[in-house]
Amino acid sequence: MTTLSTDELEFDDGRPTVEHEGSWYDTLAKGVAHLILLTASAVMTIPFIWAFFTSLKPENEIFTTIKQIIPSDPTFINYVNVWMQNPLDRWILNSLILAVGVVFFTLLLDTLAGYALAKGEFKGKSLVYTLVIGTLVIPPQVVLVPLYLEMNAINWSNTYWAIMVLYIANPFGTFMMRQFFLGIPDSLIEAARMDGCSTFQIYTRIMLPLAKPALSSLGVFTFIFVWGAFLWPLVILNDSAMYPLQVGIGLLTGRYGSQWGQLLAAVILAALPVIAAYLLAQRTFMEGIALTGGKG
Amino acid sequence: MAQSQGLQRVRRRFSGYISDADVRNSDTDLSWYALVLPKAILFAAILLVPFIGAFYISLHEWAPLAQEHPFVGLDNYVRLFNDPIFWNAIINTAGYSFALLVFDVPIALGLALLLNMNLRGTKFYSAAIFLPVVTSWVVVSLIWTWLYNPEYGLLNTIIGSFGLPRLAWLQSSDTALASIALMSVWKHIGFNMVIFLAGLKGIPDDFYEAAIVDGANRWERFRYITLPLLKPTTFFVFIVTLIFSFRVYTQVYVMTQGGPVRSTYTIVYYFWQAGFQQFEMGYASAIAVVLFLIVFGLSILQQRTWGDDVEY
Repeated sequence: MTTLSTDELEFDDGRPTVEHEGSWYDTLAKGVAHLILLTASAVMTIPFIWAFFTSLKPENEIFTTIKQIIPSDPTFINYVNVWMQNPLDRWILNSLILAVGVVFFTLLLDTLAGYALAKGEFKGKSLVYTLVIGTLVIPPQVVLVPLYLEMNAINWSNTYWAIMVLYIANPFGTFMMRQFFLGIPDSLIEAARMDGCSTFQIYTRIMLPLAKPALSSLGVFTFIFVWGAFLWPLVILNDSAMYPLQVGIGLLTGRYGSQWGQLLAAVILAALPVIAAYLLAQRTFMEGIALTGGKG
Repeated sequence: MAQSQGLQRVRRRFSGYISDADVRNSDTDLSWYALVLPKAILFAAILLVPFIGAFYISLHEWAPLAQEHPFVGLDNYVRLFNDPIFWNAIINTAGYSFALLVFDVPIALGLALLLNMNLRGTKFYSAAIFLPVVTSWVVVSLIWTWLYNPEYGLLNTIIGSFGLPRLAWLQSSDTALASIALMSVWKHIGFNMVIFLAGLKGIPDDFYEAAIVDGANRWERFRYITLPLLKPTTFFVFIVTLIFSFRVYTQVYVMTQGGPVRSTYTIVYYFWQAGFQQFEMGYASAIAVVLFLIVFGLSILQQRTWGDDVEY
């Protein structure tokens, strides 16, 4: 139950299929299955494709050529315009700083704390663990008002730190890493001890290298999560230069009204990096979800 | 293997010099504290103190810029329970959650079962179905606002080409919440599908092989092996979907701003309105506390059944 090995999400091999059943029945069942899956795939991808094609049409043609899905004369003018009129580069930079920062601190602090909670013997351990489990069930919205006041009190509003702390404090990674480290045999640690390793050296030389698969899953999942964050940055920021990309484009709707070409160009720009990364590392993404979703 | 040989070598070298107890206590408690403290401090400062703070603030009239925050007892809660907008938000949120459970969970299970048949192209199918999960709520909300455009949107274009009456989707208070729910089902299905798929892959092959030897047909194998063994996963998916759906906010903000005529007001949307638009932070905290109690109740339900995991 602690971790999900790679094989469990192997999509194209696995159990032997049963061959002794009536073959016409099998063929029919497979045909129907393909049909359903193909339809589902189309339903899932067409909105993206349609939005992409629309973003390639000049603003004045979008409504007149609505039935012609693929633009006859594709142009990137909407991308140029929306980029010129909005600090998109700054928003993307903000999002990257936030996401990379949160991933870094999450991986660092959660492996440290997870290791201590799994293998350490110290007073207050069960108290800290209770804190982890307890905070897991708090919906993040519940803490927003006091946290907002807290961040204002220490003059942190409009800083990256104010946004990042909420996500870095997320207890899920600590729980996950603790479960992972529990599965590592004590004998390994004792052996290292006898070779003269300190607690911290055991962390850097044994725990971290062994945890690489879990770290990549946690990292990917944390990245998507922070990249998509909306409510907390919206609340704590009042300087639009500090907006992450999602908040920036989320607030464009009011301003753009019916300028769908530019709006969708911004949307495609916001979606592309994650979609590209996803297509390159599909398995890691799904493991991240299966792991975090399945055990969280 | 290399490690255990190393261990034996080390044991041999040190036997007689160091007892097991010495090894275990060779590090003082202090080094463990150094590892756990950064995270523990964050928990306390960012989650625990504000969590308690939410209860405290909910008992006060709290305008952020005011000098004083008078104690009002349970007034905020009394007001909340007499507030038709709040009840409307509760009903909307519950309706949204219900739609998600009824459509999202069964369809996700169905797709996972199909993907588990190990057909050709399974990798492609799963990649496509999972695509909306990795894109953000803001992105899909904007794309769907375009799809729902009453005059030019893809959905009405399709409907219109069949000669059916076009829908107002997000513009009508009759259909706005359902439209948001439909989009959310679309966005979230891949998530549940992957969890179901992991659950299905976790059922040992021997079970199916034994059943085939016993002459069980496809339906019987599904009914007597897959379904019961998948029960913990199903229950988990159910509760997690419920908990997540109670936090619906971003899509409402981007797509409808709670309208038309508050037909898409949800609990978190109302919380945000009260706290960060009206700056009535005491009242907003009361909403947050009620949200917590609802989600906490659901979590307990989940934890209760957490233990009876199926043993193989």
